[in-house]
Amino acid sequence: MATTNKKENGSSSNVFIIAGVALLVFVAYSMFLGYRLYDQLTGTYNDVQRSLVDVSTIKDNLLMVNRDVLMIISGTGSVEDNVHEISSCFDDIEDCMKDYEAVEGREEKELRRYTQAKTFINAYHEKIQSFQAQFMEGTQMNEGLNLDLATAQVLYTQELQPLQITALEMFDAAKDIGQTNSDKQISNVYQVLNLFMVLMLVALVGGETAIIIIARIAKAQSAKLDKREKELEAFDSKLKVSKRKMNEMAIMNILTGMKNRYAMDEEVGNRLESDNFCVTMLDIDNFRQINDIYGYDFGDEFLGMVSDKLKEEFGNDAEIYNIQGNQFCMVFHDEIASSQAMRLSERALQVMNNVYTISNIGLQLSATGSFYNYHARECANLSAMLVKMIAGIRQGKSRGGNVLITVM
Amino acid sequence: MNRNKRIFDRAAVCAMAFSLVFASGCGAQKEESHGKITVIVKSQDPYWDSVKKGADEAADELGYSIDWQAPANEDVPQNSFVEKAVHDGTKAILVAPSVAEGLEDSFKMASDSEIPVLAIDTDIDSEFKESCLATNQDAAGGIAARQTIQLLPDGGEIAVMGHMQDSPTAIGRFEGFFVNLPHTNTTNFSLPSGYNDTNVLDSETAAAVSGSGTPVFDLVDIRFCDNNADLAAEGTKEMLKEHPDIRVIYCTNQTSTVGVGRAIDELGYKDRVQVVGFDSSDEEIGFVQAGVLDGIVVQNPYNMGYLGVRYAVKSINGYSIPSGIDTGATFVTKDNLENPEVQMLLHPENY
Repeated sequence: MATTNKKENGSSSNVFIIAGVALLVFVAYSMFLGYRLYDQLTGTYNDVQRSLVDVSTIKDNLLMVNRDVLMIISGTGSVEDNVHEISSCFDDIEDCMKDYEAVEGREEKELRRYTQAKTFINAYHEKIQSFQAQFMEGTQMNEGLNLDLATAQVLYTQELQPLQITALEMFDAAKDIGQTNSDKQISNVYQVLNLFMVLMLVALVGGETAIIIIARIAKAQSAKLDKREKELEAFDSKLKVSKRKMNEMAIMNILTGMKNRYAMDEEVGNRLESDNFCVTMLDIDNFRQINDIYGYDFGDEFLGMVSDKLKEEFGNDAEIYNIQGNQFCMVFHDEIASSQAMRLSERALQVMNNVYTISNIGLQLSATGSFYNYHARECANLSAMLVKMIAGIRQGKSRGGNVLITVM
Repeated sequence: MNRNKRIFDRAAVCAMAFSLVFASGCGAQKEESHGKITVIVKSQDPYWDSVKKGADEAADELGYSIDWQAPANEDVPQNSFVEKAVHDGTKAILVAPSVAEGLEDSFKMASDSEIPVLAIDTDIDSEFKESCLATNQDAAGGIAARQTIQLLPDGGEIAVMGHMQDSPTAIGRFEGFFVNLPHTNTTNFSLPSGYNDTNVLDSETAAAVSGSGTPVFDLVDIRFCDNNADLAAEGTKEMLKEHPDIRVIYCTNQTSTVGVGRAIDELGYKDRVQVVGFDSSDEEIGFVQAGVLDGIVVQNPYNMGYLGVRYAVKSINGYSIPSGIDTGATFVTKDNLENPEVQMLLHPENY
């Protein structure tokens, strides 16, 4: 039983360890996953932001270039200033393109649009440069016909503007693809995040359930254990009671409720070596006849009544033993002097000589006693002492009974 | 007890496995299509392949599919295609009109069903058209004209090989070219109906322009090949026989350019006659490399398809779009053939 208990305790603690380790792994993994998602999200956001800024700066600059070209061909403002602004705009565009290209992991389609846009930008830039060269040459020659304003306007609408518009559109497309991709990525991340939350919830509910189940099992087990312990205790006390009863039965006469000869041996045997005391043996005369005439039950009843009377009368002065059927021994307490003990013994004979009524039958039986004023070391054991005293009883009975004989 | 432990272990293992699967496999969902966009072009000429490529790519990027409709040739009426697309529940229609009139009713039908209609490649006069993405013919002609002036600093006789007499593109390119080219019309031939030449210089002006260093050209002939390269080649040979002093032949589309190129190549006149063509087939590129063609005006059909679909989707989503943009044209010669922007026009699939 104890082994089984130990085993079960062992397996339940294993479950807790496994649950603990699993929870630890799960939490660590969740943290890793969460961190990864967060990283991904911020990365994507940053890239999108950066690309948007780059593309919108490029577009702004393209529009500015367009405005400057228009100013040049409409003859507004200083040509030099406009030319200068155009070249600084293209520097800006160049920077933005470098920045845009620095972002890694772009999708192939987006890069493709970007490359197309870039090719258009470069073609546009070259065209503007040749346009400037022609125009400047014309202005420097003052009245030169290399590029009059009308031709410049035609060149602008026919050759420059389509390139600029196409470049703008392609940048737009690249931006849109990037945006769509990042939207997709972000929505993917959110999807993962949602699933992750659901998973966490499931894990939490599962964990809680597991803990509740385990706790319940543990509780049930401990209740079982308590019950067993109580059963054991009850059993134990029962055992004690029976043992005590058995012990009592060993040293008591069941019929009279008095201590028997074994008890006397236990209690008096030790004193023989050292103590002086008075002891009287009483034997009911002709008791056998009662059994023969009225039956054993009747005899037993009679013995019971006699012993009750003796206990009642002399229980305070002596320890009374029922050493055998109709034989009683009174071991007087130390404070009772031998003369008093003698008197009490005689009175005991009288008490026993009384009429006892059992089932409306009055019965009177005499008794014979032997009185022994014992001195230390007179007898080696109780048996020897009892032999002496039985000899006294025999002596008394041979005289006709109902007499107290003193033995030495 | 043991059973509970097993359940708990399994639950823990499952949870881990699930989270791993979710964490790694989330990128792989299929994208749903928002619908189809119908693109109706003029014919099955290879020129339209680039338009299709651009349209397909834009549709792919924006989550649409392309319903490609290419009639057998330019004579097939396109209104039935438009009507069918409307019936089929298309989301937008891109059409390259092969005629200037006759599509209005079908456009109205699309417009009534709230389907945006956009013209690509060729503009069409319609109150239901939302936008037009095409090469501005004036601009394309202008580019060709300015390059022609640079190729021939001394001027000379000039002839035109048109692809179809009543084609709007042929008319547009003719006018765009000649409005930007200082020229005279000295020979006794009358322009075909529908063709106007508003820039014929009188002799005085021509002399003044010539005196200032800009070449002046004499328009001597104009012919049409009905979109047949063989006819164009034949016509070229005849023109050159009649007018042996022709210095420049201007061609208005791919087939006419190819035909003229073949004739010049056969005659071995590549150093004697300058050919300014239109569009870019592999044969034309070969002629440019060989010096048979001195320059070709290359449009951007890829962008027409690409931006056309982008604009269509913008319109579907309720954004306003420009009423028209010039997708641009580039003059391609032997010198700039290898430039990235030219290569991108010729081979958009590589960029």
